[in-house]
Amino acid sequence: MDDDRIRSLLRKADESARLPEGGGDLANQVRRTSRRRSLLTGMVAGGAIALAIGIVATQWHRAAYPRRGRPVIASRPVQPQSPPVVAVADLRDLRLGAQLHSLVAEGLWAAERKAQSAARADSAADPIAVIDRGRDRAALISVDRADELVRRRQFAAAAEEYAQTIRLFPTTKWAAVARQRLASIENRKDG
Amino acid sequence: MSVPPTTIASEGGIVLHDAEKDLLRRLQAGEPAAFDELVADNRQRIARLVYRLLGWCGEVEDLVQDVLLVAYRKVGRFRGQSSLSTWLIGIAINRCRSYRRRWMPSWRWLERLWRRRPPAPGPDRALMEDETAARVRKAVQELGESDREAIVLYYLEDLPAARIGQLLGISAGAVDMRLHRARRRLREKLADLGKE
Repeated sequence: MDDDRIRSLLRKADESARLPEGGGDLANQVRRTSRRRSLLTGMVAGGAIALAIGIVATQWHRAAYPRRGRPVIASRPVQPQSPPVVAVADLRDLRLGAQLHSLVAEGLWAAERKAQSAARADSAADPIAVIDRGRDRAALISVDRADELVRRRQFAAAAEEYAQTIRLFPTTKWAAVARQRLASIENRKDG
Repeated sequence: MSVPPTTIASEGGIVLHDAEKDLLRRLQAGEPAAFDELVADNRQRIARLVYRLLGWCGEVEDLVQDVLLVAYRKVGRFRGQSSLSTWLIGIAINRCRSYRRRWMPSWRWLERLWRRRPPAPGPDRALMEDETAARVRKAVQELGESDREAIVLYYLEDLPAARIGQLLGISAGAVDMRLHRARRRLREKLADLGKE
């Protein structure tokens, strides 16, 4: 099969395959699609930028204001379980012992709960105690903030914060702490 | 394609004629009428080329729109290193490659289904011609992508090997080699059609 024969076969095959007709205003369709894609690209890019800014801001915020450690909640220590010794007592005694133990434990917990609720009721009944506790807490927060500033080596701001604690909460124990730390900052400055 | 009498050499030494250079300038200026003109002048040609490159099947109209969309968005970056039609052919080849890579497996599956149908023999000459044409098209479809591109551009688009090489980013020698390989495969498949 020579080159001309291949050409002729290909041309006939091409001519007999009818090209599907395209209609419509193609130029306008192209323009519309282009506008739509530009808009979509802009939206995706905007979203990506916003996401990146959000991630960076979160990281920065975490670095600037680290979370305090979670408060440690006292819990019953888990006792390592030793294998039951059944050589000295029979099973009946063991079951009775376990029931007694569980009853005593429940009684102790109930007494503890009762004592706690009584303490809460007492403090609620005494508004002065409530105010004192609130003042103490505010003083503690203020000292803690000042400590944070010291850790970040912003001594002037820390001294100001300690002075404010002393001025606002002079009767609390945290005012004494603030005095002590303020003195140490001033000593540092002098030294 | 005849070259118009007035020609201007562009920066890269490539020849662009006046009208084409003017159209390119208007396209880059964002003139809507210029794009309408480009579409009107090239739509049919691109459609035919895409149809051939896809093996006479596929979503031609979508691909033509895709080619023109790429041209519309990238015309600002076109520096006139080739004629506008050559540039569009290049875009069409690339779009067809991406399209085929995405869709060919399903086409092959459909082809397999189609092949199960019993052939419809008939003494009628027109029917026989149809059958021959279908066999030729199938033989071309079964060629590798690069060989099919060479065959379509050389025999059906009538482009010389050097220009095909330019479009495909290969040397003229490499184009000749692809054509040689494609011809050999077509001869093997269509051996019985050697004589009219």
